[in-house]
Parts: sequence; C-alpha cells; structure tokens
Amino acid sequence: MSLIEELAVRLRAASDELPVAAILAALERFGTAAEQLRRVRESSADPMGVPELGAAVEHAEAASHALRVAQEHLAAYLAAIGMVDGDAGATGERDGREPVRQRPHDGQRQPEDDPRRAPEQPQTRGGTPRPEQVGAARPAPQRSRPAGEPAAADVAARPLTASRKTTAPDPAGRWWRERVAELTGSPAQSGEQHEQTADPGDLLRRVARQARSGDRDRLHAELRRARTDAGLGLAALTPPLLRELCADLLGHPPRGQDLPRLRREVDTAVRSLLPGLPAPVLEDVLSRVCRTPPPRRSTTAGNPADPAVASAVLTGYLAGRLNRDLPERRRD
Amino acid sequence: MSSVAELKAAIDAALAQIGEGQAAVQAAGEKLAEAQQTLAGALEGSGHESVTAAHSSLAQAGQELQECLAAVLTAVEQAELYVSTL
Repeated sequence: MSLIEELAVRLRAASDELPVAAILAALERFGTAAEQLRRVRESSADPMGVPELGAAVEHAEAASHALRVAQEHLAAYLAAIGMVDGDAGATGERDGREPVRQRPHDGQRQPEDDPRRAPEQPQTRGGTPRPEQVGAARPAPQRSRPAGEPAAADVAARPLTASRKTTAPDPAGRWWRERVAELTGSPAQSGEQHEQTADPGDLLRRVARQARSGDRDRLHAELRRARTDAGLGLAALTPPLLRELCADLLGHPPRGQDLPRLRREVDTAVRSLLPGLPAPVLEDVLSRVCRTPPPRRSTTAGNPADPAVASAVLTGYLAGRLNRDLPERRRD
Repeated sequence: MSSVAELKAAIDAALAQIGEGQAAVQAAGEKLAEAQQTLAGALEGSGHESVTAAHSSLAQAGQELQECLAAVLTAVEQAELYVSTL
C-alpha cells in the first residue's frame, strides 16, 4: 500500500466513524420522548419542555447534516488527490447517499432530491461530484462503542429520522423499481405499490429475511415495495452491521488480507440472489468492510441503488448463516 | 381514568428516553472530537479548500451538538419542574 493509499484509508476510516448513527439514535429517542410528553400535556398550558426538546431535535439534525457535509468534503478531497479509484465505495456508496443541502436545519427531503440526479451531476476531476452537489448518508461504523453510544444492530432497529413521512411522493420510485428488477433478474412491473416500506430499518429486516430464505422473488417484492429513500438508506444502515457480522464470521475484525476469504464465503450466495449485480459492487462493499482500498478500475459512475441493495442482501445472508437475528423494531 | 401517579410515570418514561438520547449525543460529541483530532493530524499541512470546508463542517457539528445538549437540559428542567408541581 502506497503512502497516499494509507492516507486515503485513514481519512476514509475517520469519515466512516463520524457519529452519524449515534445522532440518529438520539433523534429517535427525542422523538419518542416528545410524543410521550405531547400525549401527557395535550390539554395542559404547561409546555413541559416540549418546545425545548424540539429545539434539541433541530440542533441534532443540523449536527447530523454537518457531519454528512463533512464526509462529502473529505470524499471530494480524496478525489482531488487522485484517490477516486482507491476510494473504497466511492463510486458506489457515495452515489447512494441521500442528497443534502448546505443549509442547516434542513430536516425535510425536497421533491427535487431525486437520487437519479446524483450520477448525472456535473463532476469535478476524477468523476466525483462536488460536495455541494451531492450529500452523504454514510453512517459511522462503531468498532469500539463508548458508553451511551448505541450498538450497530440497535441503530438498525430504529427509523432513520423521527419525522419520516410515509405519504410523501416518491419521485424516483420508478427508477428504483426498474433497478431492483435488473439486480434481482426479475421482470419489471409497472405501477406503484399501494403499501410502501418507508423506514430503512424495517426494509433491512424484510430484505434480510428474504435473503436468509434465499427466495429471490420475495426479495424482489420487498425491494420493489420500498420507497427510494428507504432503499438508498440501506447503504447508511448496513456498514456497521456488516463489519460486526464479518468479524463474527472471521473471528476477528475484518482486514485487507481477509478479502479473498470473504469473497469465497459470500460471492455465490449474493450472486444467486442478485444475478444482475455488477461484479465490482460486491468487491467494493467487501473492501469497505475490510477498510481497504478496492481494486483499481476505470472510473464509471455506479448506480447508487447497487451498493445499498448488495449490502442489505449481504447483511441478511450473513445474519442467516451465523444464525443471528437482526433486531425487531423497538416498541414503545 | 388517570392518576397523578400515572402522569408522573408517563413523564418519567419520557425523561428516560431523553436521558438515553442525551447520552447518545454526548457520546457523539466525544467521538466527533476524536475524529477531529485524527483528521487534524492526517491533514496537517493541507491547504485544500475541501479540507478547510470539512474542518469547518465538523466544527459546526460540534457546536450544534453542544446547543442540542443545552436545549435538552432545559427541556429536562422544565419537565422535572412540572412533575414537582403535581
């Protein structure tokens, strides 16, 4: 590994470990608390701290947003120093993030945030979109968990935000469903689903269940009924889970030298479920798990759905193989 | 048919949620500080605008987390004050 590759790996690891997941977990707690307090104080003139809690949520959302922007700046820097190919997951996971704006306190997704636009954005040298053009939804894998910080699996059990709307339009829905059909090798079906899966954590558990059972048709059905933002949100939930599962499989935290073994262990199973998955995508996902640069290849814009779907299927397959359950949604 | 005890229990449950969120924010702040230190070391000597912007975003995130904690503390005080009046 060259010096610049070492620097890239170091920067990527630092970026991955930014505490986005912890903030999302806090947001979910605050959301639950606010709901409980609202029920209590429905007819009371005393605010009981609810407005202050709302302000706390806004600050936490702004912090989460700032972290994602920082991740994008770091990715742009890596691209600028020529580490596009060596940027683990660069053409995959970065493209799969939900677009964010520079404006803080921007908790609501806008209709024009069509993820199809991400790969088509004007690009800087090396093919990497500028930070102001795309956003980040990469979570922070937590290798060692400080007190109070949620476990990766615990994070996956929660919705990404406390205020996600399920009735909002899904302008990229057709794009998502077409790509899912290509990945699973299933015939595309026209028309929107009446019941859509809007929560990435819920979607991950559904996808994992079908990946575990090896039922490609049902896997396709679950992915097809997902909202686009939930589908792309899989890329934000799976990295810490994958790292934990791979550590269980290997008996130690995944390293670069574990790549061939991991490839042998999972390649056939993932390909059988996702026959349309481009080969480099799984390699990038595994490289990222191992915190090592993926193989060099000519720069092509990846489809943002690919690493999200591949990571979720891989998570489900490994969880099944290791006989580990992904946590159910917490009931309050 | 609710009682004061039930009311207190409901608020206590909300406060417990807030406490867990507060702990997560504190942990996030510590993790962020570590990341800032790591990145400062790794990127020392770079004048690239993306690096400057990344540092700036991280500093903003830290500031927002501080303000989040301050707001949480006020919220907890308000809720506890209400409980004390019941």
